[in-house]
Amino acid sequence: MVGYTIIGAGLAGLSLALELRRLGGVEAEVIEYRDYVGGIHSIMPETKGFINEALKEVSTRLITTAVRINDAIYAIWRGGYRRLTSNVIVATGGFRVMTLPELGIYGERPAGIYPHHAVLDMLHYDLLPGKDVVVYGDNQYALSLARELMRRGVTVRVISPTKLDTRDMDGGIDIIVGRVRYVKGMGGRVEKILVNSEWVAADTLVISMFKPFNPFPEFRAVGQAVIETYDPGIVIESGKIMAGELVNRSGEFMVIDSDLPIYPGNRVSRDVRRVIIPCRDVESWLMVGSTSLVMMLQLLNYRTPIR
Amino acid sequence: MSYDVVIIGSGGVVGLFIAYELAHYRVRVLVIDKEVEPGFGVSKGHAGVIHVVQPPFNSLRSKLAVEGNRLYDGIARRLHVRIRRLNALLVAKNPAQLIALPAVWLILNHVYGKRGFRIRILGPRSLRRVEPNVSGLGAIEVEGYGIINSFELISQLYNFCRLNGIDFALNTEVKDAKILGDEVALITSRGGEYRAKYVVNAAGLYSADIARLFGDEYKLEFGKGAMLVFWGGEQVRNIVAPLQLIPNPKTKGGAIIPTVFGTTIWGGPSLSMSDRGDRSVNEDDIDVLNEKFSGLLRNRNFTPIKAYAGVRPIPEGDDFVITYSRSSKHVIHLIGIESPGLTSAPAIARRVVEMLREAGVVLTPKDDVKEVDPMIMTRDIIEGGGSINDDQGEVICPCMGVTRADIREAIKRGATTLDGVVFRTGLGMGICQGMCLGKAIKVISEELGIDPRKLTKLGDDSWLVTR
Repeated sequence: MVGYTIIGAGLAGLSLALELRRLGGVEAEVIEYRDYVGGIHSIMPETKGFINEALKEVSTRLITTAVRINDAIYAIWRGGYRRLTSNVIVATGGFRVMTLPELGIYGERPAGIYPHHAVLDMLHYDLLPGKDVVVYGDNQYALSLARELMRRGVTVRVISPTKLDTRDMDGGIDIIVGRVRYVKGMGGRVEKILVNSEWVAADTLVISMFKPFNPFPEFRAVGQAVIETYDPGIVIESGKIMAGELVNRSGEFMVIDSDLPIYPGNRVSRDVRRVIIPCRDVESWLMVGSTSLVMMLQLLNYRTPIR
Repeated sequence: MSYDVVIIGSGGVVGLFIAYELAHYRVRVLVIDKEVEPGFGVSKGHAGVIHVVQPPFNSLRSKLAVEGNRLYDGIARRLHVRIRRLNALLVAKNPAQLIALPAVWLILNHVYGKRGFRIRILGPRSLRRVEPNVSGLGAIEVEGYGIINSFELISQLYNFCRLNGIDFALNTEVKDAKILGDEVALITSRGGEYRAKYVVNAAGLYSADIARLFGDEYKLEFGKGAMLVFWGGEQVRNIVAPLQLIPNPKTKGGAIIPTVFGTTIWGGPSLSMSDRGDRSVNEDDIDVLNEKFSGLLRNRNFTPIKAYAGVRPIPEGDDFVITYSRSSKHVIHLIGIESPGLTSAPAIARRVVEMLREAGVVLTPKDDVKEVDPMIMTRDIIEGGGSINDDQGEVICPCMGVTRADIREAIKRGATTLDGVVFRTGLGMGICQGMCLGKAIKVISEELGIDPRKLTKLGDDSWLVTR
């Protein structure tokens, strides 16, 4: 059996490694840039159980990073590196934070404007990004970060372009529906932030608006790098589906005739029997809440084998 | 303390080049700058272009740009700074512009052709071959442009100067000055007083204020130009700008510029403004850039990662002023060194050194000038197949492959702030725009040996984290 290198010990990477082991005893090494696992879910209490379970069976290698240097991709760790080549690697990249020009945020660029992930690391190192924080995000991760900052005594306001579902949150989070338009600084640090047409005094702006992003498109991707979802369950599921694809015992495939994008692709192993279809629009009439942007399709009785 | 020459505001590329030239002689030189690190003033806001064409053609800045341009290859080689030579294309978008190309060729060839820069007219087919992503009917191609890693240039100049005995008083403002016969006394914001036999005022945006301390009046206006940086994918291979026959102040100047980092900059025209401290970018600025450049490109599907603005000092008469003070030949003013200041800087420095010599500075060459080492990043070592130690393998910024060892090297080369590290390593300049900042702030503080709460972005109150 082939061994796999999985880039990123977030939910998708851990789920993939775990499932590879369980399905076919396939070994995988999960490499992780940070000195802790869980990625963007590391501060979400509901995923702690899964992460701890996975860590019992999966080998992770912390402070080990995949880096592109010109055309080659390397795994680099303290004291060494090796070149990563295709077909043995499954990349788990995740989201990237949207840039300020993409979001139409103008003005100055003082200290105190941070992407979401930078703040996760600060919290991990017992540092705070500021005392009076605006979190700009339209998703559950923004809320979880706001909750964690509040727990540590920071004043937090969440600005979201769309209405947010706060059912699962302990109350008390101040949410403004609107867009961040302009940042002004004073003495080199954020001073105030224009939301719609009103100025909000704050010393910090955290950007928690995301886009799926795979930094290594030459490798197969899993999790949030390919599926735009804010649902941890679906992220874990995507890892399982990919593991099934990789192990694929029968060697039989089917093609799903679809205009909608399908994860892990239109040509899937018959062993998988499950795919993920993103469906933003369906979400509203199913009223499943803003966390699920993805619908899973069971392929139980679907029989159109090819080859 | 007493010096032969004090350069005020030499954190910029112009002042550093003057210090670099003086570092070759047996003179005691001090550099005073109000910023905490070199390069945080005017020099922070440019796009790293080595220019050729610079109207009006009979101006001082046009002449110095050509002289400076020629000096750059040697300087880049000596200081180990990345430079790439390329051409500039002025693209004709409509038939009226197309038929004007020969006239433009005649003028440019008359001025620059005889100075050794080749000027060509490209038809649609050649344009397509030279620039597959540019749409246009034809273009004027001017050879001899360059793009340079200007941060690396500033860092290497700074280190060359430090290595060769030049003193720096950073984070220090000159508050008052008195000419005392053959000496000048300078009072600084930190309460210190320096004595200098000669003073060079290279204070950029503040050059008129410094001149006033010596009783010299100059009028300075300020112009702001917005830049938009794009990630990934080659938009253009050369510097590309739309041909403009009738200058419109709102859209005059600016170009699509490839950088040595693999990103692309849309550099906008400079618009006048009153507040030199204002580096904000507004929606209008981005609209102007889109209006000006998006029509030039076939594929426009690139991600903008960052917008920033540069502020330039514009003197009366719109030309560089390099002159002795009216009250004493012991003081030299450089007023309104704006674009093409980077291009001209090596030539300006040589001119200033000559003026100092003429004013009486005895310049005896040193016979033990030390050279700076190249800054070798971990990614260069890995690319070359070399082996790495522990700290070289601790990656802090995955997009740009910056490691703990690289951060330590940047600090050794003078970085004291986050931006100082960013400029020297490229940390956080990738598509993720700083997802690594949490880790970076911790590691930079550790390497500087300070509490993370004391680390700043670029001095002043630009604190980064709290507890």
